[in-house]
Amino acid sequence: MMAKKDKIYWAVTLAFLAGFFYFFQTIKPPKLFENEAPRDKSRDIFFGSRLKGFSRSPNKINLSVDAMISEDLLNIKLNAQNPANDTFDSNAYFYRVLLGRSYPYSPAIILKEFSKKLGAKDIFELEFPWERIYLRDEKAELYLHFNLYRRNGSKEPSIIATTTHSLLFGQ
Amino acid sequence: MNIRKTSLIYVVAIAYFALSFSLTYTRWKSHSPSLDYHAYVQMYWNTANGDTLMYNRGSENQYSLYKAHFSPFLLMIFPIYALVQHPLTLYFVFFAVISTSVIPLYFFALDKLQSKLSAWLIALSFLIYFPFAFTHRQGFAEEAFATPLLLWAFYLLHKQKPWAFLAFSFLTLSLRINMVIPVFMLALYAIAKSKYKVHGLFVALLSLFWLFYTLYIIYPNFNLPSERLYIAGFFSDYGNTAGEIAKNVILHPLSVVEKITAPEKLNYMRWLVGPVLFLPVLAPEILIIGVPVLVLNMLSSYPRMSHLWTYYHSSSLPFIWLATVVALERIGRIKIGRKVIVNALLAAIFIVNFLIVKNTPNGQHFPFSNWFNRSTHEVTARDKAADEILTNIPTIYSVASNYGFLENTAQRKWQFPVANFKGYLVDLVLYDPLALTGEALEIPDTDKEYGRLFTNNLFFLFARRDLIKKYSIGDFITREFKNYDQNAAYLAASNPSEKLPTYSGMTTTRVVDINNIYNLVQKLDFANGNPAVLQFPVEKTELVRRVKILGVDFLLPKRGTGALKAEILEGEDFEKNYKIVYSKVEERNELAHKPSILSIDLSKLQIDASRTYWLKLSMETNTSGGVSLFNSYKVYLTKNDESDLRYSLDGGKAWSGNNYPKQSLIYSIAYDSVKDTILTKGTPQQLKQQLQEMTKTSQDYKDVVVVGAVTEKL
Repeated sequence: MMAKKDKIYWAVTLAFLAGFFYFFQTIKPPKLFENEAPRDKSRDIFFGSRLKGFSRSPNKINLSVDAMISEDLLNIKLNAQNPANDTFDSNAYFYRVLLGRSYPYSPAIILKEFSKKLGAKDIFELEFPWERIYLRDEKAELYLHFNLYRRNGSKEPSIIATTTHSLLFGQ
Repeated sequence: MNIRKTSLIYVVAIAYFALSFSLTYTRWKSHSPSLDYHAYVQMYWNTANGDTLMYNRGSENQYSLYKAHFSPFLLMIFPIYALVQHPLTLYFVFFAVISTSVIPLYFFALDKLQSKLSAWLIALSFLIYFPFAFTHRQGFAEEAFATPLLLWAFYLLHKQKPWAFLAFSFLTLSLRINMVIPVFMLALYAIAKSKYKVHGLFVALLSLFWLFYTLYIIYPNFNLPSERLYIAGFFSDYGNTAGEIAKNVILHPLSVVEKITAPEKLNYMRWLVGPVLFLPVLAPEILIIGVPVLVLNMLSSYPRMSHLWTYYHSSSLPFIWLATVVALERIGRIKIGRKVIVNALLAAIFIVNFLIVKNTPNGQHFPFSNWFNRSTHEVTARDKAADEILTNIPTIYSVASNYGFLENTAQRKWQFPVANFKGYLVDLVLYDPLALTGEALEIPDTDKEYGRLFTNNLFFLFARRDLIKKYSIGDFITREFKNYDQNAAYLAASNPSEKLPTYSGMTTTRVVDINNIYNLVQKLDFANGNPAVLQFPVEKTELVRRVKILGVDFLLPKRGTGALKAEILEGEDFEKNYKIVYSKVEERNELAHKPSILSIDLSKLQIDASRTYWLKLSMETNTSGGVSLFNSYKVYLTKNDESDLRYSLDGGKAWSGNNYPKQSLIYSIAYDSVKDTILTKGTPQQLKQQLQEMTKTSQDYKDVVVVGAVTEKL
């Protein structure tokens, strides 16, 4: 006959292991964007052709970015629409336009960083040139990212929406 | 347990912990890298900041460790890091656990051999057994915890504590997927050899379930169906999936035998069991628990898995040593002189292990060894200068640096090695042209995306151009600081001169000797007027004599004579018509076995930049006592088409520019001021206060470069 102490130990062991295995099967990779779908199978391989139309801004805010390359300038057009009733306050949120070689959240050249209030059902458009100081002779496919961030005090800001446009330089 | 009688082994374990941790501390302070430790520090920092066990693996994406290894053990010890968020916290816990390995081994030996002397000889021999030292002294890996955890599991089973055996088996499983093998084997041993067959059966089933759970539940959560499993990459010679690999191994037994009997694999086994005189074969029922992992290591397509200078054998070591103890117990059953024979064998094991670490490269982690790697533990003034830079970089910046600095830059979301810098648009690059290990160096193109922020002690700090903004200190203090995010920390650099220091080249092409035979003269290139400081790196080398006995390299240190002499000569012809404007014999004790920077204050030498100057490096010798063995020093060269470098092969009698054409001694020259660039970090308000203080004490600093984006308010 099993001793009472052993019975308790077996019960605790089985309960602990059940809890342990249940807990770890619920863990998923952390979200890189706040609005990301919980299980996004495209994320790890979107680099490349799938990045061209990449956008993560469901329901909250819709961003778009377009650009024309000329000899000395990059003419960039931004558009932000807020279909919801939330307000994106200029103290808590800011926008960044990045030119990089990969993902929207990776380190990249900051072409413009600005803050602007976007109220409920509001919309804004912005057009600006960026002088191609050190990309004049580059032949490469680069990605233009338009991201909306929320400030996190002294910590790195969180990306809450992003959109990407691919650019072929020197082709 | 009688504490008074047994406490000394705990003291030895604590002493081993103190020694290991202090050596690793100096290694960290001297910026000597240790395998992938930087990646684990980054995972912990990310976990503390909400991203569980994420790291960027030197790439531009973020990965979870569970994509490669299911290691919940790392989360179990994470709370200690959460309390003390220091890069060495994980090492502290690592050594604390590893150091306990000797305790169960000692008590098991005491039980089996019934002799304190025998138990002590086992414990001390184990501590100087180099395959054990390399599991944790070469670097960090969660798999290395297997040595103490399995020793405790086995010992507690032996002491008839089945629940503790079960707990330690569970902890071992939680290290990595391959720990399923030794735990399953140990469970079979418990079923066959102990009275706790139910516990053994439970652990066996648990390990099988663990394998299934990791392969079919955890990995699919972190990997795409189309992706090859990370661990399958270790066996790519046999296939891409677990099934394919298993099938090919079973269907091709001859090629498997051929692979594991290759000379280098047999040598692997020889170094593992040779130091215990091959005695474990007398206790095969214990040795067999650790063998399957070794076979797996030998079958791997990744050669490092069957190298002893890593940790992949850490789960086999317990069974090699436990089997040694049982073998000695069996030898001790003979009637005549049993204790003498056992202790003589143990003394031989101790002496063999001592001689191995004392005289062969396997002793590089032992301070008493002739092969102890001093350069990885020396902390020079240049290391302190590196820390000045590293501690001033706020965690919010992404950083690329040489391998040696990654452990110092790991507490951030993005870290990159400069070895494959090309393509990254990282915020800051800390570049060391004198870095060890022959890294394939890629440096930022300073004409394009990057600007140089800082040069000192031959370290270069670059920042991406879009982040750099230069202000007069007055403007920044009065108004510009308001444009920055008041909660964020920024890096700022204040230079005493408008001209940044110039340098002869940025990539080491070769290292050459300076001694009683080889001398060097370098023409100095002053790019600007008013040169203030000349800096160049030097390192000393040790004289040794190698003797080969029974196939083992013995290394005997030798004492030499001769100190490095540095001179600056003025004149077109450094051989005939010149004036010595500077001469100094450097104290050998002041130099290290890795680059030390020698600085010459040019501002005191009345240097006229329009004239010709040469730096001459030779040796001051004193051979009055007869023929001597001479010391040697090393200096670094870089590619430079414009350079005029002369090298002498006969102690300075004849000079030639043909030995190292288009090469220059690595050196830098600062201008206008002997003061250094000052790096500061802080919120805009803190930067403002620091700059105000600086301008009160010195008028030399006029401008400040602030690194960071400014948010326009539209």
